[in-house]
Amino acid sequence: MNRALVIEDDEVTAHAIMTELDAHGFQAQWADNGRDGLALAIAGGHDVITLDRMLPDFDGLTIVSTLRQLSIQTPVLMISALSDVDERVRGLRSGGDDYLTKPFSMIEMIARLEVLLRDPAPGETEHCLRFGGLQMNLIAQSVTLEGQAIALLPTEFKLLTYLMRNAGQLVTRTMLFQEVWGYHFDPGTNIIEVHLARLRKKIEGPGAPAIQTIRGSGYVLVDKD
Amino acid sequence: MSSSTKTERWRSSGSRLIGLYALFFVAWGAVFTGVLYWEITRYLGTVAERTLMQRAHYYQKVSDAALVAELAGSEVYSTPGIDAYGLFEANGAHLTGDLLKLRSNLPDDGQVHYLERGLSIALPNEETRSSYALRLDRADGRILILARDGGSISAVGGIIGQALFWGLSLTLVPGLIGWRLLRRRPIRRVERLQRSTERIVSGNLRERLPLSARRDELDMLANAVNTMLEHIEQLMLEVKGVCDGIAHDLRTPLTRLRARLYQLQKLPLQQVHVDTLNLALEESESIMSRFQGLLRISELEDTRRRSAFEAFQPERLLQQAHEFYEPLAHEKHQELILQTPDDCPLLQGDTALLFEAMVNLMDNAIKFTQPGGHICLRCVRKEHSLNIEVLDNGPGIPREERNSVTRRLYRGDQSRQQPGNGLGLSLVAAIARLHGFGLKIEAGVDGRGTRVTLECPLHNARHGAS
Repeated sequence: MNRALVIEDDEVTAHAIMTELDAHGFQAQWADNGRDGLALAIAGGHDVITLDRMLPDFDGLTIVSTLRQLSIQTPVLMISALSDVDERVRGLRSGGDDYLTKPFSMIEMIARLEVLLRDPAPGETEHCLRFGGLQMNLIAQSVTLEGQAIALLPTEFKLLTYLMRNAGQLVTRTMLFQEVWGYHFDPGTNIIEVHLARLRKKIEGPGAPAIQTIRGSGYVLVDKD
Repeated sequence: MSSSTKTERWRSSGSRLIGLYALFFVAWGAVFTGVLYWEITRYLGTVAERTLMQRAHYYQKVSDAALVAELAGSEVYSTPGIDAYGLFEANGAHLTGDLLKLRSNLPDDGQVHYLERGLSIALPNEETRSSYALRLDRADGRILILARDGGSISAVGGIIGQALFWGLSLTLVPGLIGWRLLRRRPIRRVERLQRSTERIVSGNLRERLPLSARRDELDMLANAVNTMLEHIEQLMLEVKGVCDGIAHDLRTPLTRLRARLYQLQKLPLQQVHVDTLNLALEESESIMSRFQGLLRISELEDTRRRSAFEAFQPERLLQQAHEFYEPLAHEKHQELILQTPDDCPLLQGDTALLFEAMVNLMDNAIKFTQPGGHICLRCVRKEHSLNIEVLDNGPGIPREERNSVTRRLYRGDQSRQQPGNGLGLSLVAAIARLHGFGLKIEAGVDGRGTRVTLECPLHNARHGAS
């Protein structure tokens, strides 16, 4: 069971996060101020931390940079009411692993936490990814399905890489857009769906995994068998 | 002259006044000297006439026989070349005197006449000059002509003409110089003011109009404007503070609302309730997306935020946008064309924001263009700018709506049925403003469709980094 530390001063938000974590099999611990949060985080024993950027005493940035200075590498998801690009950059620079802007959806939060917690996917060696009948060589940038080569465009290759790395886990639209295109805004539902539809068509076939759409949430790469 | 690109050339009112003064002075000088000339001529004319009449009266009393001797005797004292006489036979033959020819155009009426082309005088220099003349017919049939030179009048005319010339040149030359100087200097000052106001309009409310040490009327005006700007800045900051406050205060309740609805969804519910709950969640999503859009725009309008600016290749941006949207266009059976010149200059900007702007423009173009339509994404090199254009042959935006579409939450009649929140183009406008780019919305080729242009001034690439 994964243990999560929630550092959040707003009780309702904290409660919602805790409930959601609970529902996804996390064992969650709550700190309602920065001081306790930092102490708990230093004490250790957590697999992941959600950290509010603005806390009454310690600033979120201070907490995360203190942790990193102490060589505590627990993954940190920063949650902030500040959506400014600069703020995101600052949050990530001071050691945050991901950044989520309020108001956010719980699905998005869980999906991002899962990605932070991800163990190297089964079949992942240094430069090879494997899922179902799909095999991907990251250096040669080649994909084969049951030994048959598949020609992919660079974008499609990046999409598939991300999906395969997080196979079996939900990835949201914004996560894909962020990872594949490198931008941090929501481009709208349609466009990502179309890209995935193209990719889906290319990796069809026996033994191929399927990209499932979870309506209103995101996508999962699953083994059909 | 570096005049503003927006307006035609401005003219200085000071220089116009100087020009007008010079013109008035010239006209007044001309009238003055004209009147003077006319009066002097008239006076000199009367003087000449009177002298001639006196001489005529004198010779009338002299008998015919003594006339020649008398003439020779008395005219000896007259100034040669000024006063002259001539005595002729009735048939016009010359008898005596300096005047050698009898002029037929001199009427025989005992009056003094002014002859433009004078009488031939033998002495001292043989020139014909304008003169006053009087013809006397003697009782014995001989004709006596008495004349007085009219040259003094031309001399007066010359003097007055010269005076006029010098007076006018001394008025006109400094007047013209002053006009030129006054035309350039105040205009330059006003141009400096104009540049400041342009910076203010483009978002830098901290800028103030420059004041000179002269403390003249321009400075007075600039000072008044500066006071006004200070007030406006303060008001804007207050409004922004209120907006930011509202935004910040709303974020938490909105997050809570979503969290609570989401928690509800987890409970075992009847189908009716599940449906209602889903609708409520959808609504909260749409509130959230609009809210975030609005926040994002107001964030962007705080235009001092330029930390993420860097040099980038516009053609790369367009390629990326093209690649990103090509599948969607393909699905709608639309053709998405990319045209970039080989030698695109580098631009200065925030690529993430510009890509967001491109995404909004492309999204609109694809959304509103009919299946089978064409959308062209291109980069056009202009003299002072690089234009990024998104052209489509869709229904186009009616002329009267083109200005409104960049307003927040505005939705045209045609777009109401389409999904969206009416923030896309205002976001594009905010991004363009942040970069100092122009945003133009026009009809496309042949007046059909839409052409959205982002005008990126090229000087931007040089000083944008500072």
